[in-house]
Amino acid sequence: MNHRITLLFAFYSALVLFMHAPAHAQTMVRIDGSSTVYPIIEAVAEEFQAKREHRGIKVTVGISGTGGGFKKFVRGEIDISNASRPILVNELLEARQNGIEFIELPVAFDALTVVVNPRNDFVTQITVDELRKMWEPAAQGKVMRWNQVNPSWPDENLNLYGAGSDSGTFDYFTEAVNGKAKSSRGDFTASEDDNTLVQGVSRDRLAIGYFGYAYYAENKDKLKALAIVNPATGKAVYPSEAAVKDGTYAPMSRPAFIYVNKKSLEKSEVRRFVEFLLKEGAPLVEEVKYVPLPAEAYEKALDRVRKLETGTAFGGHNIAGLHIDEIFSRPLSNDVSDSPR
Amino acid sequence: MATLTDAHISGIARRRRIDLCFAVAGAVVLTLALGVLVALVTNLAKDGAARLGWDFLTSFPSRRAGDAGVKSAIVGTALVMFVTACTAIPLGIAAGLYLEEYARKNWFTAIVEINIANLAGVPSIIWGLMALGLFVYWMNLGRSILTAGLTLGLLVLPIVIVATREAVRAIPQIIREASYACGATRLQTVWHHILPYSLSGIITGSIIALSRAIGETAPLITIGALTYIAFLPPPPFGERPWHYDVESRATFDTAQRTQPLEDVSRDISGSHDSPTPSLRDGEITFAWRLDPGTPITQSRLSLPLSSGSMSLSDLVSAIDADENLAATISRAGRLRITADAPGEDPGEFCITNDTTGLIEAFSIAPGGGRYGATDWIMSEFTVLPIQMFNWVSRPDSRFQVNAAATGLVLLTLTLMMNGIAIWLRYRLRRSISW
Amino acid sequence: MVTTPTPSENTGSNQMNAAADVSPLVASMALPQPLPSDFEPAQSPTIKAVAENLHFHYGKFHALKGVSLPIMQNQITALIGPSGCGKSTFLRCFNRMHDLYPNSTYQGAIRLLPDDINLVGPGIDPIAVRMRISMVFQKPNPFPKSIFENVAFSLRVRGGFSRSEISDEVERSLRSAALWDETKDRLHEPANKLSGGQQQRLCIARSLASHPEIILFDEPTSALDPKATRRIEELMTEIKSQVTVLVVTHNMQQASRVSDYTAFMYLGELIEYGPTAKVFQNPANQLTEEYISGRFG
Ligand SMILES: Nc1ncnc2c1ncn2[C@@H]1O[C@H](COP(=O)(O)OP(=O)(O)OP(=O)(O)O)[C@@H](O)[C@H]1O
Ligand SMILES: [Mg+2]
Repeated sequence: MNHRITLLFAFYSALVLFMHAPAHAQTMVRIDGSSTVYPIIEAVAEEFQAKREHRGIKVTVGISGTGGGFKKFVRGEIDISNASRPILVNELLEARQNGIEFIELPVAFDALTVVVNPRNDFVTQITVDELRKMWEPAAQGKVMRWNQVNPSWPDENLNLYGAGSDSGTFDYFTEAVNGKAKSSRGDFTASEDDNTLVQGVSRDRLAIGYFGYAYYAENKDKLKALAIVNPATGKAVYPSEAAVKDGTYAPMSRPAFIYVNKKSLEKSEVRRFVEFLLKEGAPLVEEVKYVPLPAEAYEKALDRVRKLETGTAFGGHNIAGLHIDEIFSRPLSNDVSDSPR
Repeated sequence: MATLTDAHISGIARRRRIDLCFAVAGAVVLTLALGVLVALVTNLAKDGAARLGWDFLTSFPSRRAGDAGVKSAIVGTALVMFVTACTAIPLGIAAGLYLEEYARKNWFTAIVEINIANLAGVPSIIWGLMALGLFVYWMNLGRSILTAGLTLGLLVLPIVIVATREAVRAIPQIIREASYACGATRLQTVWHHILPYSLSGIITGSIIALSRAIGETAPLITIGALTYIAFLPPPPFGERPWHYDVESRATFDTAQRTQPLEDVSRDISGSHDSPTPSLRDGEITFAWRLDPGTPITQSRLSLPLSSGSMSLSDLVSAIDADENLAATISRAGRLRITADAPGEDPGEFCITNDTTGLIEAFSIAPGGGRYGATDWIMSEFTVLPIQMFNWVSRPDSRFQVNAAATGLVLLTLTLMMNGIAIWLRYRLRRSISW
Repeated sequence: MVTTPTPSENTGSNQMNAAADVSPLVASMALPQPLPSDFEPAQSPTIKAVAENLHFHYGKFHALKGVSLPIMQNQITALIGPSGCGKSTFLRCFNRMHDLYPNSTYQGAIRLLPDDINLVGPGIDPIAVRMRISMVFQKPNPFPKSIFENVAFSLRVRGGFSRSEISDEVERSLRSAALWDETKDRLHEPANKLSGGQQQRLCIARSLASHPEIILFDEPTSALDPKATRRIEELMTEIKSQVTVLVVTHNMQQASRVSDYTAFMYLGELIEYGPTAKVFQNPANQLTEEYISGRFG
């Protein structure tokens, strides 16, 4: 008994002594951030590493969330940050303080989809104004019935399902609908797990909710997507790849970004990964049920990488409803801009 | 002795009824608890069993639910648990023994005692934040297995301490007195008596602690556990692969096309390390070796790469000019370079030219050789609950199946840990009988 | 009701400096009356240890109030007295058992002879004390290990014994404790499989293994049946050729059967001390007589 304990003790001490072996530099691409963007990057990383010519390159992807990813990114701990929204003021400032320069690359689109229960027969399309009436903070406790939003709708309970306040989806939706990120009524069924929202809406005839297109695509039999009336054209548009690509599904198309540390691009494995993503990522994006950018957009993004054009097009603000061409035509800046638009 | 009256007799009946009620209530509660457990497990098994199989256990994560597996997560969980066990159990036992057998009972130990109880109730995310500051940033341990193991170790330390103290307290004082009366010191008493006699309780507590740790996600995400990781930590004394490090970049222009040297790989079968061309100051170095462990053969070519352009045929003749290398262009448009190293078997290299792009030039990092015994501890990692968490929230319902299968794996690991604990306790009981 | 006796003359008169010269000490102390003329000790007794004006406090509680008492070498000294009078407290001063608990304070001295060290004095290591004075407890308390390991433990704590030395010692101790024949074939079985009486003899073997100078017995038979009790009593008589015995007992017959000297304590004080026959047949103190005749306690 006792000599066994002694042995264990000796083994343990040996282990503790051994512990400080130096870690060696590795050929690695470190990626972290949004769980919304994660499926895209996972697919690209998988495909990238499967290629013979990338043998020996290791890609790691985490899901600390957009905010968590940026936290690591602005400290220079990771090469690439996945983001479901543009970099914000604080993160920009911190990056500059730490001397981190970055390249902002939109990599895909997600169509935020507004859904109702399939048994709901009175609504097929909805305007942004109507959405605002439902979701604005002032509606809390007041707008409780469908006909309060649109008199042609029945006098029945309005049951709201939405993303939890920690998610990028929530930020984008509130920005697009209420004009200010995170400004929303609070009395709705909220969940960080979109599958919960899917379940909720699919069981509730009077429900209305929103989440990423992929969740709708996987559950088309249980949900009914609404067409969104484009505020610019007045036309109701259903979420679809085409509508997202041509920019008519507005303002509910949201871009997914990666932010690449400029210094990391000096490492060939990072450069190769980014180029692989931009050159060969489109079918993978589609495979995981996101909408790829138009081919020209990927070309423009590649150009940014080649020319090492740093900075953000958003000035540290979360701007909803931008067309992909706008995103590339807006001037890049490493500084915070005063006004969002 | 008073005689039994009727009231006494009926009193017995009543007391028996109460007794029976309690027994029934106990049985019902037990059945309910078991029922819930069985329902949970069958539900999990029903959902997950289909996916559970050897390839699920031996595949890395994937975007395709059917290909995705938990290899990296199982290894990660096992290693993190190992570090957790190596920290929490010895520290917890030591702290518990110290508090029970050494520390004087005064206001200070009272405060420590209360705080240990409180620590057990601190939400795990707080531990994650503390660990981020302490281990990752301050002690610079990185987002590694070590950090994760220490974090979870601290998280469950109070459980081990409390279990140790309870087990130690259960030892009759008279046993301690017997030991001291034999002239034993405190350490001898602890080592020969207190520790062995309380070990079975400590093991139970430790397993409860590890069972809690194995399911934690929040603190690990905070300290940077990964989700997608398609490689394993370096095995102790395992062979270190060659590192590809960029030395420089150059545009390699032939006939208005940029010729990439991207696909640089050994074209012969076997498990040989891939040789890599390296570019430095206008030179390409081809380096290769035939078997792990044999010396590296290098051939250096002076190519004016950095200056600008070179035609493919110029490249071929330049390579051919080297005494160890021969180059040909295959019909498929592949540049094939054959290396004939003196004293060694010939080796082959392939450089494709079918994509357009930049020349990537690499050198082999110094080294090769072997990993240290504990290099794995500084490695990146993922764990089972994080994979589960990730898959549960995916839109594709086939990932839900993966999540359930992961749940089963996690459950099995926990059961295995408990099994080991039961076996250890059984072994101990045989050597210690009260 | 009993009146509290005034402390006997001993409290003031026994400020002995050295034990080298012990005969006057014996003559002068703790014996309220001179020894009767017919008293003939078996051998001429030498003093093994002597308590001198020993006070003991449990925190603020004054448990021993100036006890002075000689312990004769290779004799059995019995401590009797009503429950709570401080017998165990007194006994446990001899192996510094109180040191295991906080707020224990000793005053006065227990001189161990012939080397004359004060067992309760400052600068004396309790472990060194316990290596010379071992103890058998009221309830049999073998370690939950094998029979062999129980006895071997006393040697293991000392270290420096070879395997064969240890097994020789174990055999010798078990023989001395009259347990060898019963256990020689099952030395590696758990000690707890033994009967209560055997367990207590095992504890005696354990305390003999270290060749102690004194063994302290605290009511060693109170948990045993009469037969087992007899075995232990016989054993005590047998081992007294090797070792000095100090035994606390509630059993008057036991005290008169086995002990050579008897000390009667009451409320933390020594009331009477003398050869057992004397104390039982002709107690000098009223209280002693009342206690022995079973009128209180
Ligand atoms: N640990 C302790 N703390 C405080 N007081 C104690 C402690 N142990 C004993 N006492 C007190 O000291 C006095 C003497 O106790 P002791 O155990 O020596 O009596 P005893 O003569 O051995 O009694 P018994 O025959 O019942 O064993 C008693 O009044 C008891 O209450
Ligand atoms: Mg007692």
